[in-house]
Amino acid sequence: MHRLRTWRLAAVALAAPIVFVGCASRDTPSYDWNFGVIPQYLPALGQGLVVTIALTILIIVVGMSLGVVVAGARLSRFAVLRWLTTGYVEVMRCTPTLVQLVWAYYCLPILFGIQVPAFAAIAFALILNTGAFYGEAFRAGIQSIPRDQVETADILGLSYFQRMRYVIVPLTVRIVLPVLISLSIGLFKETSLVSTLGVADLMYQGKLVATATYRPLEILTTVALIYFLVAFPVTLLARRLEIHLSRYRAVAA
Amino acid sequence: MTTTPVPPDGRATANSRAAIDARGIHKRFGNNLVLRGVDLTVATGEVVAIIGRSGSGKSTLLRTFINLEKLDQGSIRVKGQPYLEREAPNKPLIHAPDYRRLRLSMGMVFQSFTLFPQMTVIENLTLGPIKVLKMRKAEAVQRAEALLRRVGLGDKRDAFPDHLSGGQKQRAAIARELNMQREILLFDEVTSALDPELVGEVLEVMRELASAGMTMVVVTHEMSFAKSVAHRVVFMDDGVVVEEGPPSQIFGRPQHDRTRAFLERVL
Repeated sequence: MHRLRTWRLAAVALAAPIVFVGCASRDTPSYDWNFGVIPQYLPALGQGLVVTIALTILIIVVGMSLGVVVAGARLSRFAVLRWLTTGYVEVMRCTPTLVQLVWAYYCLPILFGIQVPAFAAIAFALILNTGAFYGEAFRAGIQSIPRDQVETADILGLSYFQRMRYVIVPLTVRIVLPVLISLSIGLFKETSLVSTLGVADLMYQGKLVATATYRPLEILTTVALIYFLVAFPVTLLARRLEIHLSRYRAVAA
Repeated sequence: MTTTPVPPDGRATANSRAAIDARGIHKRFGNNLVLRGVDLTVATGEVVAIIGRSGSGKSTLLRTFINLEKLDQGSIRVKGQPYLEREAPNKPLIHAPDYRRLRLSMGMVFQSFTLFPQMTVIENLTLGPIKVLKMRKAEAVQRAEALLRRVGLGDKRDAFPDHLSGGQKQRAAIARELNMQREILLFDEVTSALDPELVGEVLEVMRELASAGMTMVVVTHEMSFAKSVAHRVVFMDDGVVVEEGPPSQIFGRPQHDRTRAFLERVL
């Protein structure tokens, strides 16, 4: 029942641009859609996709680790640590990602006199950005665990690490998982911003191909389709994982 | 397990081998002096009910016993041995060398339901014994199954807590403490969050434990339970023990006006 609905939604989402293209071509005959140029450039787009996915995975792994540290610092007993991380999180949350990327790329070398490769500067900025968001998700998850549960684990005699390992982390992960996944999918799409700074990701390759072929609309549509074809199955998998992990709940999420 | 309840010797309360012997317990939250010098002794095998209105300090007292609240001043001995001590609020809280072992001999059941939701009932019952008591898994499971049958949850072994009623959760939580081989159980208003029709099944388990000789300290609003099961009733008000004695005395001939006023309101 549920899967059927999901697939139907996907079908509509996929059909919409095609219908749109169909209508558009009738109303504006001046533009002649031609997807025939696409196949020969698929290898180039494929290369870009590899870069996009590698960048995404790198940032997810490092960013999530950073997120754990950020959550720990936000919940720390030490006020200074709390203030510092709160400041960092708010800066990341309240400024545009593109500005953060440009800053890391152009301003850091000027300010600190260090020359870093473009890819490193951009990965660094994106990691800081997503680390803040992951951190907030973890913090909210940890804080949603009732105090009595933590006290019970303590009374059972579990050590700090045992409490983390068997009680707090498993519960937090289950609570936070949906947020982590949607953040990660958001990140996957947001990596397209790096194309503006010359990293040869999927978006960048798309722009190159568009310039070479004078077919920007077809190329952009194809690029969008590729992003969709990667992200959508991930959301489906995530949904199944979520249902599996929340099977303990009386009312499935 | 089915012996009739025999109140322990009254003199045991003055015995240095008491299960819990708390002296001069003080606790302050900010400007609020919650406990202002409480003395309480619980004999081995004794069931003590602590009654009093909300905010009288009874739950806080229970929590200092198991060190969930750090006492500001006072001393606690457990099973006749030094456990926690603090001379004054500005002095350090001293944990006796045997602190951990003594603390592990005490279990606590909360008002809210504290089974770990991501684990099945049997996993809840065996986590502590396996990880902390280093019990073999097979043995922990076997004991847990026996305890589940004892509290009437033999068929809920593999259920997740969310699929249990409040009464079943509390019974499982009691079984979890029993599987830790506790010698003393602390109950903090364990029936207060329950639908009225579920209170009885939990009290029944507690009654059975009492008759089996478990040492129990029960903070409760269930006066009938205090009356029929407790060997001794302690009435607290405003951070002190106002009056204590056998149920017949507290409920029949209360000595203090404050006790009488409280009982008139709740009975």
